[in-house]
Order: sequence, then structure tokens, then C-alpha cells
Amino acid sequence: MTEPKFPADLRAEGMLWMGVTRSPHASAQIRGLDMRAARAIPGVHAVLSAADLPGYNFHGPRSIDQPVLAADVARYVGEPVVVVAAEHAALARAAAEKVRVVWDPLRPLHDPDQSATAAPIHPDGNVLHTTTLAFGMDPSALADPASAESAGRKVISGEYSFDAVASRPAAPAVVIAVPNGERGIEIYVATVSPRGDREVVAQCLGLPVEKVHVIPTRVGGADTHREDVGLQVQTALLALATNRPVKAVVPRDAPAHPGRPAAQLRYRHVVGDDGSLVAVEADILLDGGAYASTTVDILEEACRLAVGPYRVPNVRVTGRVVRTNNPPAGRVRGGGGALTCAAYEAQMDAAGSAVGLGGLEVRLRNLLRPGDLVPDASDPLGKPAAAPVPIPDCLHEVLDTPMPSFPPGPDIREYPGTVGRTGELTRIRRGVGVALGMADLSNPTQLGEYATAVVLVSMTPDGPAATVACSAVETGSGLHDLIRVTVERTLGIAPERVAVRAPEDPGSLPSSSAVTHPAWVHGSAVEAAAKQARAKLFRSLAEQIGIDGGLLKVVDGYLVSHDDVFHLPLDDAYRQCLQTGRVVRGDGEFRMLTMPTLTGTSDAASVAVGAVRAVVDVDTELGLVNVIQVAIAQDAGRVAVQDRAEHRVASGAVAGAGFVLSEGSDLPFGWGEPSAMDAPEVVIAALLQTAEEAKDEIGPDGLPVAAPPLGGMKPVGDLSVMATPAAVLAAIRDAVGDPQSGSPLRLPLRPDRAWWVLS
Amino acid sequence: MSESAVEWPAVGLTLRVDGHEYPVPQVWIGDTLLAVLRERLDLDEPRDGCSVGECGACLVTLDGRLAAACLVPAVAAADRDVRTPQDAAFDIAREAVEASGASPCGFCAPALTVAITALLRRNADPKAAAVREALAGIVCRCAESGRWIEAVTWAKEAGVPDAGIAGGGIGDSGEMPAVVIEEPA
Repeated sequence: MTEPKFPADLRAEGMLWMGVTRSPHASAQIRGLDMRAARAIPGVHAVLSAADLPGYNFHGPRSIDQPVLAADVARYVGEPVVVVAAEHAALARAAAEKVRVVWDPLRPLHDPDQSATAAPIHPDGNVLHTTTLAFGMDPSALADPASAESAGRKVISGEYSFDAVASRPAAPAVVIAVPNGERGIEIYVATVSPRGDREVVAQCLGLPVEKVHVIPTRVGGADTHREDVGLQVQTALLALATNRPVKAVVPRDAPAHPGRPAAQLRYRHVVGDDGSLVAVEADILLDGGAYASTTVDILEEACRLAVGPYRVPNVRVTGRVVRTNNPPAGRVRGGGGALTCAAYEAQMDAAGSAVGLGGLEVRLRNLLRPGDLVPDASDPLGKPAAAPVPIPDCLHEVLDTPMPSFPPGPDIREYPGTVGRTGELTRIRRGVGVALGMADLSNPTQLGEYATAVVLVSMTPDGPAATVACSAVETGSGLHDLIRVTVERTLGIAPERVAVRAPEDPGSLPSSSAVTHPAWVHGSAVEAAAKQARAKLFRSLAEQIGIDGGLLKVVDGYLVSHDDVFHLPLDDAYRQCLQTGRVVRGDGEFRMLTMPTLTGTSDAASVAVGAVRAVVDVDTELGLVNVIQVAIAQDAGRVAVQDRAEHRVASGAVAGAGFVLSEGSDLPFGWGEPSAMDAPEVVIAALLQTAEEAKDEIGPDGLPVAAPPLGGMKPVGDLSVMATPAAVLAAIRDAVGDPQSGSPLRLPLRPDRAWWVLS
Repeated sequence: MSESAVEWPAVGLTLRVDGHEYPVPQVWIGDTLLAVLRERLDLDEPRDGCSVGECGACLVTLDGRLAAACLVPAVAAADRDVRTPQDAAFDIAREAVEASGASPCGFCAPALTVAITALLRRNADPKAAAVREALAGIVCRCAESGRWIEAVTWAKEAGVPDAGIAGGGIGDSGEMPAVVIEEPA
């Protein structure tokens, strides 16, 4: 089988190139369009605007509020207005520049603080979503200086401001649309949700859904959060108008992917003189940009994860996400927890200083335990955390990790400043910081995400083999490896004998809408299909011993009954039950309706916790920071593919270091991710396997009880992204002291924001 | 912009790529080497990551020196020795990248193979800092540099063929003995 191609590597006979006329204004009305000059250019085959779109001009993953092409008003710099198809990429660009748009610029709204009171910039209004999660007493009453101080309490106030981060995967945003006669239009794109895309494209093009075929290509950048579907509609529109294949490549300086939203967080922690947390009050404001995209989900997640893995009796979290004339934001790696962790951990350190115990001690005195309440969207009174919450184990693991030697060098490139060769030993201070993080697995915005899968088992001359058909798109994160290992675990078929086949046309089943935790959703669907295949396959054996086929499982090369009475070597079992020519099919489905199967009860919130220790060197005069080492330990539930899981965690730590030090949407071409020179050494101290094998799989009705999906595997990708920035910040404070109180802490912490230099 | 900006001055070129001669008719004089390699010769490695020389995904060698193909006009590459990541010279490094899991999604893998090969040709035993510097010009969002260092070690041990070529390139200032303090042996 040849390696699948990235969309940029696909070409078709007679292919045209897309060019886009974009808004140069953050906010402006469109008074007129003159496309004659562009159309007159030889080699230009189509010049189209919103008026040429046969279907509905709006799309969006949650609110349908974003135009495919701006019709009467543009709401951010770079918003597409007119699309062009031409014989050559440069010609398409030149033609797009020839389109004359008569603009009537308006005063743009850039400050999210002013959005709620400003005139609406969109018919749907400026406030996209508000939320309040609270339990216990109102923290503001407890934080009242008159009462709080008299009771021997300290109130720690903090303000945190995080810049927006443009999301730019290594592989550019590319779409190819190919008109294919009666079949309709084929769209090749790096997407992980072809089915959802297909429906949107059909609606916008005014086509029946069966005339649209969205075909996922290879995905670059190991990320499920891709460009918005508008690009697919624009490309398909041109392809249909010209009856030629059209390729669209979004230039690097144009906003193509929703980035991480800018966030402002205000915190008040009330802490007793013994270091116990009395109350936490948090107010979170997100800049959603011009269109809603998935920012509502991020806000909800940020609010649920606003306190961290701590036991607090009185909590009040309020959140708002508002519209501005900035580029649209959306969900990115690390999710909402990545916005709050750096803030609540800074608060914990400040609390430690305030009561004279130190940040680590204050954390230890308030660690979340199973049964403690955590904020929850579905329950205004909070929800008890489900076991396990192994924070002490994680802390031990990271603290036991050997420290890198000091001083760095002697190679000057190992100092802050690296290739700039500005390092001087006399200006370097080392710091060490520890942070705790918590991701929640009961993510209500995921509800409704689902996947289906088919597993086919057959006998080959070399033994049994399996084929999995599912729509899980491998982005480089190891999803297909996970699927093979899952089949091995269920059916005892070695991973190299399991083929994973994506359906050519995802419009036919199997399909999915899994974006948030694809490994979990797809893996669970495959597991269900494999289990059904197993039950069918060995039904005759089960009947012989008078049990349901679902009660047989594969353990260490044996087929074993639920009560361990029946044992048969797996080879013999396959020989008896799987004759050559017989194909056994299992169908599986997994739907995120609630999370009961993970924890045994839906009344508890499933969480995944972890600890990160960061070691940094700080240049005291130049404001440069070199992250030397990041050590991580986290609860992984069960690890399916160790190498892939470690890789995912480690790359998240690098992304986290970038978030705190260098990433921002103001970079001309957007790559603030640490380079190989700047990236820390990442030590995976432990991926704790806390899941217990379900021992008794039989219910009172004599039928199998649903086991936790994937044997209790927890998604591992988010924790390092969220907790690494917090640990790096703590390490910087350890090296050079706290920022002056009263001014908000702003990230990324580029040298011009280095408080230790400025003061 | 004047009307002439959309006229189409084109030339015919002969490119020597990976040891083969490719006559390419009707190349727009503004086209980059990258655009011709990819769109005219269907050579998909090098990748097109940013088109502006920022991401390093399009690394090739030109007469043995590293170059970002997106910054080289195709006409300037005519009759020069162009080696893309598909060339056999990079096979060892390609295996090394694969074996060490240095490029999970595979997008930056071709650029890594070229950069690793070039590094080992001019520095047979690079220290970690030299490896990091040599690979710093390649943008990646899913790998982690520890794996890149592993890949270089793997390639070093497997023995990258020496083409007798020296010289720096993208993201690499080479070893600068006046500034770099080498560890005592």
C-alpha cells in the first residue's frame, strides 16, 4: 500500500488554483464589488463572491454564524470576500488583487472588555456565552476584608492575561475539489470529521448531501483541530463553476485555523492561616474573535477546570466569551484547562507565600481526593471527583526525577539566548517549579460525539487476521496503532496482522464525529466491534459450556471464561471456530452520551491528574528564559501504546513551553513553537496505570456487564499542554522572584514582559 | 499594479534532479524551484510548508549545499545539482527518522532527512547543542526534539555516506570555533 498523501501533494488533470481577496480591515462594510478587471485576465476562469453561492452562506461548528464569503460586512482582517480560480497559483493571487472592493471602514472592536457594552458587530450579538458554576458559600462574602482578615484568613487576588495564539500546523491548509459528473463533487482535505464537513458543504452549495464526497487525506501536525469548513465550500464552489479541479492553498500570513482565544482571568483565593483553601472565586473572559467557532466549549471547559485538583468548599466561577473584530478563535491543544492552570497554580504559590508555608506545602494540604466536589456544568452544586486521583504518586515521580546539572554549557548555545550566543554565566539564575494539573473526562461538549467500526476476522494460511474499517484518521498521534493494539487485546491477533482501512467514502458507514478525544471514541467503537466479533466467533464453544459468547475473553494466549473455569489455547479455539473461508463480522458503536462506564457511576466526575516539574535558566538582564528540563507524571488509566503515549505527552510539554514563552498570534508567520534549539528535554517520569481490569464481567441477568472502554484508558494529550506553562512560570518565579503585585501577569513572557528586567 | 504584472514571461529549463535530467518547458520566470519540483515534476518531497523560507519543510541540496527550495528561483537552479529528499543519498537518514519516531505525522520527515545528512557530512560527531542548532530551522508541532537527537545518533551509527561536501545552511551557523567552547575531551 502506498503511503497516503497530504492534500498539498494531490494534483489533478486540468487543475486550477484558488486565489482569495481578503478584507484589509478589521471591520468594514462592503459597498460594492468590481470584479471585471480580474475576470478580464487571460487564464482566469472564475471570480465569485457571496452572491454566487447557491446555498446557505453561513457555517459554524456550534452557532451557524460565520459566512463562507463576507457579503455585506467583514469582521476581521483576512476575512475572505471573493474567490478566484486561475491556471497558476501566482495568476490566481494577481487576479484576487485586481478585485476592487468598495470598503466603508468602521471603528473596529478589539478589546473583549468593551464587547458586552459596545454596539453589536454581528446580528447574533456580541456575547457568545456566559456561564456560572458555584457551590458552597459565595466566595465574595468570605473574601470581604472585614470578615476574612478577622478570621485569620488571607485573600490572594491575581489577574492574568494571555494573548491569543494563532494555530498554524506544520502542514498548510489545503483543499482540492474535483467535479466528478453524476457523482457530484469530491473534496480532498485533511479533516478528521468528513461526515460533518460533508453536510455543511452540501448545505452551503445547495446540493443534496449524496452529491458531496469529503475524502480525508493524510493529516499533518498530529492535531485534530483543523481549518474551518468554509475553505472547502469556497474551493468546491469554484470547481463547480469552472467544471475543473481546483486547489486552494491558504498562504501562511492569512488566518486559516481558529487559534487559541485570548483570555483574561481574575482570581481570588481565600486561604486560612493553616494553609487550607476556604474559597476560590474566578472570573474568566475569553475573546472569541469575530465568529463563535468552538469557543463556547473552551469557556465551559476552562470554567470547570478553573480551580485545579484541590479541595475547596466554596467555589464560584463565572465565565464569558465575547465577540470582537479579531480573527476567530477555537479549540486548540490542551483545551480550556490550558487557559486556567497557569493562573490557579500561580495563585497557589502566592497563597503559599502569604501564609508562610510555601506553594508546595499549601498544595499538599488541599489536594483533591475522591469524593471532593469539583465544578460541573450539569450540576450546579458540583460533582464529587471519581477515584482514582493519584496526585501524591505523580508528585513523587516528578520530584524523584534527577535534576539536570548546573551550570549549563560549556557550549554557549546551552545558555539562554542559545544561537544568539548572548549567554553569560554571571547573568544566569536557575529556578525549579512544580505545578499540578487536572483534565476532566466528563466533557459535556463532547456529548453526541460518536464513532462506528466494523471488525472482520478471517483465517489466512498464516493464522487468523483482522481488518478494521473505521473512519479514524491517523494524524500522527498513533490512533491506528491504538486500534491495532485494541484488536490484539480483545481477539489475540497480533498488531501486524490487523489492517486498518478507512472507508473510501465516509458518507457511507462507518463514520464518526469524534474530535475532542478521537482515540477514546474510535478506540471504544473498535473495541465494541472486536468484542462482538469475538462473541460470534466463539459462540459454539460458549454454548458447549452453557454461557453467553460475550463472557469469553482472551488472556495471555488463552480463551478464558469469565469465571476462569474454561481455558483453551487460543490457537485451538481459532482452529475449531474459524474455518478457512469463514468471515466473522463484528459491528461496534461508541457514543458519548454520559460517562457512566468509565467510573461505574455517572454521579461522579472522572478526572485525570498529573504533576509537572520544570527547570529553567533565566538571563537576569536580557529577559531570556531557557527551559532546561520538563518532567511529567500523570494518570493515564491504562496505557495502550507506551511509545505513542509518551510521545504525545512530550510534544505537549514542548507546546506548553511555547505557550508560556513565545507563542502569539502577532508573529508574522505564526511559529512561536519552540524550535529544536529552544525545546526542553522532556522526561516522562511516569504514566500511571491506575485502571483495574474488570474482574467480574457478568451481571445479575447472566449477561456481560459493560466494562470501561479501552480497559480504562484515559486520554493523555492535554495534561502536559496545560501544566507545563504553570510549572515553567513557577520555575521563573523561583529564579528571579515574583512580579510586582497589582499588575496582571501577561503571557507569552517574551523579553519585553520580563518583570525582573523591567523593575 | 500595472497590467503587465499578469503577463506570463516563461522560459524552458533543464533541471538536474537526483541525478536525472528533466527538461521543463514553459516555466514562469517567477516560479520557485519548489513549485517546479512539486507541481511540474511531481516530486512531493520537499514539502511546501510556508512558501516564504520560514519552516524548512522544503530543504534540498543545491550543488551539495542546503537550500530552502521555496526561496530559490527555478531559473537559478538550472544546470545545478539538485538533490531532493527522495535521493538515495538521504536513505540512511530517512531510516533513522523512521526508526526513532522523529516525525509522527511525517510532514517534516523529508526535511529532517536532508538536514541530518548535511549535518553529519560536515560534523561527524555533533554534540547535542550542535544537533539542536542544525535542526532548529525545521518547524514541527508534533515531535519532540529528544527524538530528533536520537535520529541523528541513529544515522551517525549507521554511517551517513560522505559526499565530501561542507557548508552551512538553514538554521545552522555551523561550528564556529571562535565562539563555541567545546567540551574538554
